[in-house]
Amino acid sequence: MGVVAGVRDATRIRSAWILSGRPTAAMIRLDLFSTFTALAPYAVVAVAAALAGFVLQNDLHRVQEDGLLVIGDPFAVSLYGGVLLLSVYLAASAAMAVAREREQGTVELLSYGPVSAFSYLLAKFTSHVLQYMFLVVLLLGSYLLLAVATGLHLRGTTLLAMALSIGPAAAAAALGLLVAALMRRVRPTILAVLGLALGTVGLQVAREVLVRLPAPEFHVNPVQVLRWAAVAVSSITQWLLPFGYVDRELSVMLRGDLAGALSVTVAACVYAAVVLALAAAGLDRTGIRR
Amino acid sequence: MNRAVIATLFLLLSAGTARAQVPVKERQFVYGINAFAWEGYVGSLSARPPHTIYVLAGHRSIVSARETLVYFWPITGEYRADWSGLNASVDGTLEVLQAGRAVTVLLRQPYVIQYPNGPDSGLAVLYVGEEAARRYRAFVEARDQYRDALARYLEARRRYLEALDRAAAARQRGVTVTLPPAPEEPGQFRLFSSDVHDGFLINLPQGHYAIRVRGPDGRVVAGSQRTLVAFTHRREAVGFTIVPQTRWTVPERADEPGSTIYARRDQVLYFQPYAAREYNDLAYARLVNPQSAEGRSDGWRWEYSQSLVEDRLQLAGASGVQTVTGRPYRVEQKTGEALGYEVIEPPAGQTSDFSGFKVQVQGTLNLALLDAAGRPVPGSERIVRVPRLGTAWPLGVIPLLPLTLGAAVVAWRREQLGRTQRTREA
Repeated sequence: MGVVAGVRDATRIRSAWILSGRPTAAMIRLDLFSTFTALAPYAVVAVAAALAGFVLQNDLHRVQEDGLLVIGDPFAVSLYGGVLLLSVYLAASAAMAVAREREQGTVELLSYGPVSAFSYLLAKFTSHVLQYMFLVVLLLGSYLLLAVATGLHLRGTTLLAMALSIGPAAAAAALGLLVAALMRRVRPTILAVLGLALGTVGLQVAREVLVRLPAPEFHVNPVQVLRWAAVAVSSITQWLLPFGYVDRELSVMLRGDLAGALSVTVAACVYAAVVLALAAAGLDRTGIRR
Repeated sequence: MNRAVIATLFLLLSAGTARAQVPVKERQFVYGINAFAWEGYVGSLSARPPHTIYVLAGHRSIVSARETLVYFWPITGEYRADWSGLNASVDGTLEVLQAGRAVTVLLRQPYVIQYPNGPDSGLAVLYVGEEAARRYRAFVEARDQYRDALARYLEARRRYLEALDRAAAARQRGVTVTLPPAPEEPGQFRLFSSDVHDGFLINLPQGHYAIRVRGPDGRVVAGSQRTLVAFTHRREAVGFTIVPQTRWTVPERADEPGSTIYARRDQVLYFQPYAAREYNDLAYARLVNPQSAEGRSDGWRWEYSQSLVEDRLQLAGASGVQTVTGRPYRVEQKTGEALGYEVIEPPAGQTSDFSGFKVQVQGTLNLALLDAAGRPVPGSERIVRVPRLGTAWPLGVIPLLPLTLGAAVVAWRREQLGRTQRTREA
């Protein structure tokens, strides 16, 4: 009896794979091929590497001029900028892919086959996460070359931070898919994703500036009110939007707190799963048609 | 008419200015705080509106219940006390509560704060109870003895100078005179002491507390409720102040144990090690000044607790392992037209400007402070690296490599598509 049940289970899994898994895998392959043969992802890595080159050149200039520079991690600022840039690109790219295929009617066409909204979005999500891994490897290669060229040390924590940034990047891709699932057109989708990214980063910068401005504890003044508002809003957005996860994950990892960084990565992965499910529900609700 | 208007306006304006220069003083219950900090005991005020008092956990601080005249000083944006106008001690006991439950009840006791090496030196000692009165008496006696010794010295010096004048005059007359011995100046009197005051001695473990004064009538003194935070450090390490020989007036700090020190080849650096503790930025800023608007609740700062220049510094580089001992150094301005200075070891009898470990950077160095037993002090390990300071062109070329790869992939793809199209057409 057990053998028969086992064979039945195996057959069920195989048929499920044939029905749903194979098309999903095919969509992932197709997506990966089309993104790897486009210039945009390479250009984003080039911009991130150029940012690193600029920052490192500045550090070298300080050593040259002052004779001395004490720094925790020369690649920290570049890494933050690079990962944020890649995450924003990934969110925008995922959103654009879905919105464009929806606009062109590809999604509708796929739905006549054995492709559900979830498996479609899962394919997009997986291909973009794999794409991020490839881009991170490219960026890491650039950082290694920069480290060799400058003699500035690329620390192990930087490498780990890059590896763990996959969590926040996956969350960013999931958010891009959710936005695309809720909005039909390409342009509003891209604008919404970029607006969310810039809004989060802008809020973070405003918060950093405002907390540095002196404000007495016992006086209610405009700085204090603005600071309170920025802290309150950013404390919400840092959990609701994936770009806050990038900041948290990198700052915790660069401090050497591996357990903390792992927990942020896990939280980002949970966020990605929840948002992906919401995106599938959203796509079902808004419809697959143009 | 115009003159009259201008004169009236001027008078009105000056009257306003005169009013603004006299702040309104209000009689208030305040806490005078002498909080332990690593730079010495810092005196501050906690007036109304009430704000949180911060103290270092596990260290002794003093909180005094007083009545004084409080005014707002708009220039610094702080409330200040006019102690000379009113400085009345408030009777009662200090109740310390945690989560609504009384932790301890403190009685007032006399205290004195003394600085054995002078008021500007960091080392401060707090004496309480009978010891405070005894120490203060000893201070007064020592100060009086020094004053008498100084007076005697000045008198002796006056006589000595007169004797010198007489000897010079006698020599002019051709008479040989034996000079009296020069008087010896008494040693510098460095000890400094506060007067004996009374206050509540606070030494609490880490935590959030509420404090209030209960008067002799059994009622809580109005306005005496405050929140008190006893905080402690997050990490301990050895911090370094690094003085480059080329700009000794602008030292750098390497407090974070994971930080790397980048220096030019052949650069001479002087390392000054300190025992360091990492505190919350906001808490420490408010410890030093409870009314401070500085400090970040999510920020951290390293504070030096004591110099460790008596230890030895181990250097491990390509040329092997060597040990350096800390030495005093003197900075001398170069004479002549060329500006600059040089750092030298002071000749015998001359004072030094700073002490530290001299390190000549030749390449990558692993350094660590060694304790008396010759073991590396935890948290003192640092790496000194020499970056490549040559040409900058690789930094411009490297970012182009991913772009080149992308362009190659795109070209290959187009070639593939073109070939497929040609095959179909054929």
